[in-house]
Amino acid sequence: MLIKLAGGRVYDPANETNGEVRDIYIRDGRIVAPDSASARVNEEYDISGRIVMAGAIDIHSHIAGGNVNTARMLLPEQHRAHLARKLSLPFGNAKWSTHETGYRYAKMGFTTVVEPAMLPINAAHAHLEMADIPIIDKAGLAVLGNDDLLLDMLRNRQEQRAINDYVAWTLHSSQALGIKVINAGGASAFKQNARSFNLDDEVPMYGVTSRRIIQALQRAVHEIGVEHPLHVHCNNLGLPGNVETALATIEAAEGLPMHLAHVQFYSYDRGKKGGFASGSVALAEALKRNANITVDVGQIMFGQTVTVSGDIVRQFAARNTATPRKWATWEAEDGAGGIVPFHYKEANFINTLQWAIGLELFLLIDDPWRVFLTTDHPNGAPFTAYPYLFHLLMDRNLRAVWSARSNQSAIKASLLPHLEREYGLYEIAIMTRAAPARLLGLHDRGHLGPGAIADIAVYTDQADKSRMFGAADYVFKDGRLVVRNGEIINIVQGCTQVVHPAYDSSIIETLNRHFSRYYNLPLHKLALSDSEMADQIGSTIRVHNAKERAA
Amino acid sequence: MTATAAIEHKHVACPFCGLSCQDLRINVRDGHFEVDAMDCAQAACGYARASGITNQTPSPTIRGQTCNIADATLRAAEILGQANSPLVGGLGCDVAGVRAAVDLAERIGGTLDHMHGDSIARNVLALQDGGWMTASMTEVRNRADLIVVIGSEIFDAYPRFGEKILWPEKPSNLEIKSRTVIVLGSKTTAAGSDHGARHVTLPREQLTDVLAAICCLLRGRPLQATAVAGISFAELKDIVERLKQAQYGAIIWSAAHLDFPHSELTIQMVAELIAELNNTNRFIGMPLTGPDGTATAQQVCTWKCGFPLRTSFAKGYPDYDPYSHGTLHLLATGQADALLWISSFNAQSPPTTSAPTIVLGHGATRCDSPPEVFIPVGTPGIDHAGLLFRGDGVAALPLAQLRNSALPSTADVIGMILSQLPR
Repeated sequence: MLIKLAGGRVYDPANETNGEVRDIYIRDGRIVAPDSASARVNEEYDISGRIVMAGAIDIHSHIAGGNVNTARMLLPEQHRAHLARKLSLPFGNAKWSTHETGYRYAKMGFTTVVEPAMLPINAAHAHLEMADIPIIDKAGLAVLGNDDLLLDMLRNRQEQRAINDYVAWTLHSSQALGIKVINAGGASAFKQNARSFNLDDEVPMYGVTSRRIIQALQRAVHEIGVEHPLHVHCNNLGLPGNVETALATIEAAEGLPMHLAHVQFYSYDRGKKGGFASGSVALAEALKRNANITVDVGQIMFGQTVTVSGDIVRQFAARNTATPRKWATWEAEDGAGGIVPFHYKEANFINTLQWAIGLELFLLIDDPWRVFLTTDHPNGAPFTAYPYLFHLLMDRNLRAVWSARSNQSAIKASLLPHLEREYGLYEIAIMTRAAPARLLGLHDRGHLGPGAIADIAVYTDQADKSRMFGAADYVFKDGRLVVRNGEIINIVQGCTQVVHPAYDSSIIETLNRHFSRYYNLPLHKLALSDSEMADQIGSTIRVHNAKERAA
Repeated sequence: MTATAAIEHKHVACPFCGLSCQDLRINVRDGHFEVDAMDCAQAACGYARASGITNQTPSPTIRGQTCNIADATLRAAEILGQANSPLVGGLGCDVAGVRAAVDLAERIGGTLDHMHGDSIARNVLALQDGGWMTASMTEVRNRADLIVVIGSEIFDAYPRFGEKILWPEKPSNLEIKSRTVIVLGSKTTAAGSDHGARHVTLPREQLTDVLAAICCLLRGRPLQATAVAGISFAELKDIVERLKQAQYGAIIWSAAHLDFPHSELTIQMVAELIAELNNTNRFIGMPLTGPDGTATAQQVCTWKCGFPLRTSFAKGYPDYDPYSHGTLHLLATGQADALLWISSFNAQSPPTTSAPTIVLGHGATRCDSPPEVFIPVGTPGIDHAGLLFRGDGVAALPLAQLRNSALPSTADVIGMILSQLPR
């Protein structure tokens, strides 16, 4: 079966196509070259004048796992529904359900989403939820750095090779696409009553610094050939002056690839009276100097949301800001989590400054291949705010409107009114398609060249970019039409993207000893096999190649 | 008949209580289970029940008359398809079973509750009112230097509780110097006497008062009473001092055993006490949840519906109400006009009701009067593989199949019902 999308304006930065009119051909779920298209076309869509991009990829969105599910239990009042659903769409109005997550992403033209905080002990749970998110493809990042085994290995000065094997095994056993570290060592230190945790603080009992943990993991990820660099949630999130921590972490990367997540939350300088000021310029300049660093923004948007984070040090410290006044934390074998509902208010100085800093970062960092669009869903805002965020990036007048009705002291203290830049469609396509695929090592997507999986979004170009990106005209997933005129018409099942780098099986004995002793679990029950993914979790996996392991 | 050789299974995951022990050794011979020396009444009972149905695989019935499964699921689909407000209850099954049950409820406009829905609601109400700080079973086992157990009944309901959490054989890696265990319960038990556990007895209903007094002393507020619930001021003061001195303290409770009116307030008091203690030292809570896949049903329902159990789809959207969507309330007030009852681990019979009842149950289920439809289902971890959440809700762990079985899984049966529903 051959499908033709005829006459669309194509934005495909990976293939350097910038709005040219091209026909796109799809066969067996993949994009095929025009010359193989002399065959009869079975289905043709006239999309002349419309915008065509690859399906969008979200590199950091908390869509699944114990922390998210506890947040749902904690806050039923936040997402009550009142409207009966359409008969054709099961769970269509079950807000914040896994089902609705898939529908809402697909409607916007997103076809791959990464859950960035999967604790290995909670990996089966996270994958179960992801398997129940329809249409889109999913991936998880396994969290290490607060687990006793790694800390113990570092304390005992084990060689990097052993750490590499442990990290590679974790990617297998958690069925993950990459590794994340969250306030490295902080959750472990919190268990021993630390209330703050800086880059050079030591985890009590282990005598290992946060810096050491980050560097060991970063090197491991690099050396075992995982394409997605270590995904770092820095120390001191949310505190004034924390841009220094972010800059020090960039230095600590020592030129190796590193991704800093939701940098808006640590781009805060210290104001005159010790309060908040923008640190966006310092961060943007550091990015210019350090080509090895990528960031996603973690934009905040005004309104009610809930913060859901593995950074228990931060979440516990923020407990008294909870709106409404309730919050939860939990600690597990290899990490922790905390849930604090929060309302970002435009009248509030700090909240407006946070909003402005996020936008400053987007506008100051001039390489769209290295800055990614996220709201750290749901921490800065729910992912459903993305269309409006595109609009803000593409329209300085809209920014001016919001600046005028936000806290004026914060706006005066911000560079935002002076930043004239407006994103174009090509840059949007880089930031949400081409660059994420490259950053994650997902070479089969994020572009529209022959061989790519046929994840495609078609939009109507219009001045109101939030309308444009809020409801795609057509979305194809693996070549199947799933969205028409902004409505879900076909509920398909995506799969889970993983990487399985090689490891030396001599590590197994160490792992078995550790987990059977301290977790009361034999190793095979902690590890998710490929067949368990298909049979019990309910999602098949697609294994992406790791690079050759460094000698 | 020649005797078949027994097949030995090691590291068997037990599905019969919230502790989710992973270390059973079981010999399986002709579908019968010989459970290796293990001091656990719950497991012994669970495996014996499974052995008991081996010789004659039970059949589906309609009004007590044996039938084939296709007819049984068709009749079930008719009943559920015609009902205005069916209740999908029991929910004693694995992840796959609950997933299917939630899909079914969404399709037919049903309401979801679990057979232990009251105890689930107690915890959730406390969580939703103020939140809490918790930790996993393993963290308590490895880390806590002080553990307060609320409810002496936990030792009976979770026979290996002491061995698995309070006094494990294998030492922790965390250099805990010593561990103090205090049991606040309504009866004295022998549990932990050889480990020096301290038992404080009090009437269950006065637990909240005692916790309030402890909170009061902790906050340095004056306390007029000289004793609360029979506990002297000096003893209360001593408990408070111990709480304050803990490096990593834990309070464990089982909501199932706080079965008195408004016990969600007791749990809330525990949560507040823990939050208060964390202003200076580390302290966490551990709600130990029960058998019959309690944590599994709660987790799956929450991610698929966006809301916890006691969510109804009768109005065409998920409508969560922990008070009015309880099983007994819906049945007693006639608001449920059909009942689908699921119990695959235990032979728990459905609550008595005049509403037509479909039971997807353990083969050993006995009902006072035959239900409209009975379909025997396999037990996860015995008749088929599955995933089950540990009682702390943190880990979803695999259950393996232990014997060849003709019994379908709950998910299979619900799948058949779904396919036979009128379009």
